[in-house]
Amino acid sequence: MKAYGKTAVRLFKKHLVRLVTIIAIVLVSIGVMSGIGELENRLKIAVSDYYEQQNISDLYVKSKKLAGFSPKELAYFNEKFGEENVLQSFSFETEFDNKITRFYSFDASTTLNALQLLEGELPSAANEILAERACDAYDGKDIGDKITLKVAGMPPKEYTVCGITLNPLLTDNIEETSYLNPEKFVSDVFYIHKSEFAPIVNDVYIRVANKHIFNAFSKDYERKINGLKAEITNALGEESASVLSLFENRGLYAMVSYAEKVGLIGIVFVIFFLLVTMLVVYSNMSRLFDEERGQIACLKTLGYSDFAVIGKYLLFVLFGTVLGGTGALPIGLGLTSLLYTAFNMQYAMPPFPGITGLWYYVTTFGIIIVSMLLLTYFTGMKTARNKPVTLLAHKTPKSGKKVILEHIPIIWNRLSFKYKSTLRNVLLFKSRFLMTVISIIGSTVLVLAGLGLIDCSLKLSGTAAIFGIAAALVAFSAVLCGLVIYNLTNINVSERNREIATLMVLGYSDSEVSWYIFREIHIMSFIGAVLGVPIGLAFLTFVFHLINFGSIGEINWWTWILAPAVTMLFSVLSTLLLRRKIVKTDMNSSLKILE
Amino acid sequence: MALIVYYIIMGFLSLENVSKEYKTGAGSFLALSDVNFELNEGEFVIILGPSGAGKTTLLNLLGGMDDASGGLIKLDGQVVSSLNKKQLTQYRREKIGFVFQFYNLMPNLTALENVELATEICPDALNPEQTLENVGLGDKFKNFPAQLSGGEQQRVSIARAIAKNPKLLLCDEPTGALDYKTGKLILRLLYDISKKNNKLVIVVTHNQALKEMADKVISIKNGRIEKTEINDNPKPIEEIEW
Repeated sequence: MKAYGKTAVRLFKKHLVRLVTIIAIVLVSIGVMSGIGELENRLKIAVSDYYEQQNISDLYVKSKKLAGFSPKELAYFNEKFGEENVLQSFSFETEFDNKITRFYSFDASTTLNALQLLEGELPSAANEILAERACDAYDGKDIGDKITLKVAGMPPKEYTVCGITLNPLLTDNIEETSYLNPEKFVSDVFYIHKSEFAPIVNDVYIRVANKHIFNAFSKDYERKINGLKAEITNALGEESASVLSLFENRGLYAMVSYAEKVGLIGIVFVIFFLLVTMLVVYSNMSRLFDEERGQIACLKTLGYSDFAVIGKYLLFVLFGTVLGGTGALPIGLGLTSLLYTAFNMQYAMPPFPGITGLWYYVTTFGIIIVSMLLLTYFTGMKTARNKPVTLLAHKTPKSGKKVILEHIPIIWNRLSFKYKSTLRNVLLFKSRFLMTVISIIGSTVLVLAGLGLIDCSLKLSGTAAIFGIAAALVAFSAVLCGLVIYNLTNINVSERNREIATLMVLGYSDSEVSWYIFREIHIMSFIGAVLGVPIGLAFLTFVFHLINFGSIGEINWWTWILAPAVTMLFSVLSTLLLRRKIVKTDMNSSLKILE
Repeated sequence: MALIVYYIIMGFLSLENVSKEYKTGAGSFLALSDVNFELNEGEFVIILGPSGAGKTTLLNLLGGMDDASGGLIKLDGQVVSSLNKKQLTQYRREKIGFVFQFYNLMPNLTALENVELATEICPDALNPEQTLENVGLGDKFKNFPAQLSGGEQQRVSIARAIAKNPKLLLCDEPTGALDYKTGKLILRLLYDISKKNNKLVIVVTHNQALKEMADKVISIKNGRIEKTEINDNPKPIEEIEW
């Protein structure tokens, strides 16, 4: 086994570039799949934890009467839900100088809808006041600012801001609609100690569920809450009070529904990334087996079993995927927390929950390893099952067949033989052509889809989170696209080593040889890039429909050009990088017998 | 007049004290040393030697595929041994015709297209169709290599080499992959080219029997020229048996 071990080590050394591209592709792929996939889970966990921690109320009943709720109505709440689950509160709005300010009464003794103190202190004197955090939606105040409360028929009173706080029910970064005038927005929110107000109760907050039922707006929770909402509305009458559930809370619910959209985008892209990755690694391995026919034959004649012969190739793939997949863990986690930050720009998010489960990471990693090993095993066995004699005879090129264009002499006769050779290569090796073009289409579609989502998120306000995902998708898809093309170009150069050496002996210059080899990959990239546009259109239509967000009309026209242009750019870059490999080809390899 | 005299003295192809050293991990290895000979146009020359003797190294130097470590190589008055990489490419392109042991045809080009592969980049190239006809493949223009026998493929390879109208035709074991009879036909073709077209043809082989057909035989052993023999009356290949 020692000698066999050596051949395995040589395999790794000889095909180092392939190994590195497999590692890189798996790294990028699992990184993006776990990073985006995990985001929805992470957001839901964060929201559920926050719900529990801040003891958020499930229902909010607002009295429509000036005098607020009657003692009888308040007794109804206490009796039905238990005193400890009911928070009686008071709020009002004032309008001066065209600015609407909302005031809530503040009760330090309650734990329901606990305010989160961001800066400063809770009020200790009657003239102290809390201000809602400064965000895009509010003007924002600093500690020490003076606020004058003016209410008609009462003398103005001055308060000092002693702390900045965050109301768990106002997590949205979007403006809050006024009660006074639904066409206007609230420009500031303050919390004044309840002793400062007459004992009127016009807001009631009720807590009915726990974390497990809530579970980021689960179906059970929805059923329960909607039932209670109807009950309360019936008991009080629609004319005296309005009942709002958390589903009507723009902050929390929108956050979760965006998380769900993100989850759907994640799943769709995960499937696409998986397919492209599998295709690329598969074509990489199947072409490797073609190149190694001679060696496989040699080991077989020595009496190695078929499985032993392909064992080292399985090891090759296993090593590549395990290394890539392991490296993908920090990428995935980093990406999730990065996207979480994008959500934070839109919503005042609770802190990023730690690693609790890595469902997406483990699943995609598992799928990649198992599928790669199986694909390699079956392709390998297909080659290894041949008799050594068949393997030693060089796989006859499928020459002799004519491509369609040859039957149109007007076009064909005008082509230089260089193009003839390229076209025959492209069109005669159908399965290779298809695998190459499909991988390029796949990566073009991913780039296009990411760019399309960016366009939509820029046009629809308040979708910073979707923008974050889309930007990450574009970046990772572009890297994948580059890797796919580099990998294919590298395989092409390595397979045609002998042709390259022959051309050099014939006196072809470095650039002439390079073009002879690269014309093919440029043509395939072009076909893939162009076909990627209509397929990307169909894919985006599907994604938009699925997540109920955005539309094809919102995509800028240049995006349709940019995506295929990115693909072509990578094609050119790959060839520039691999030109050196061609130039360094040993001309003596043209003299040797076929391996 | 002086130039002609120079040629006669120096030969069409001349090597003076040529050596080639390869650097290896452990040290250096002298593949060729102290190689001297002169050859003329229209000669059919055999370079003979066992494997590992330095034949391929010599072929690489003559073909402009590698540069010498020392000494002087001149072809038709041009000093080859001092050319840079780019000039060597130009030299291979215009001056050298190369016939490979394993033909090295492009599998996806037809016989004619394979010849065009060479003529398209050469300034003084011959007509590709005519050249293919001259090697006896007038009816196989459109065949792909896989549709040709070994001998026919080698003929295409020879046609590709001579269609460039090179100064020097280098053949690396041209019959090595062919059967006995076909091998003889290929050698006849190469011999005729040297005489009819007045070309210097160099055939590298390990086959001792071929000595008798050559105008000159250069024997190499351990990286040195063992001896150079001149045949005043070369034997026709058809009369040689091995």
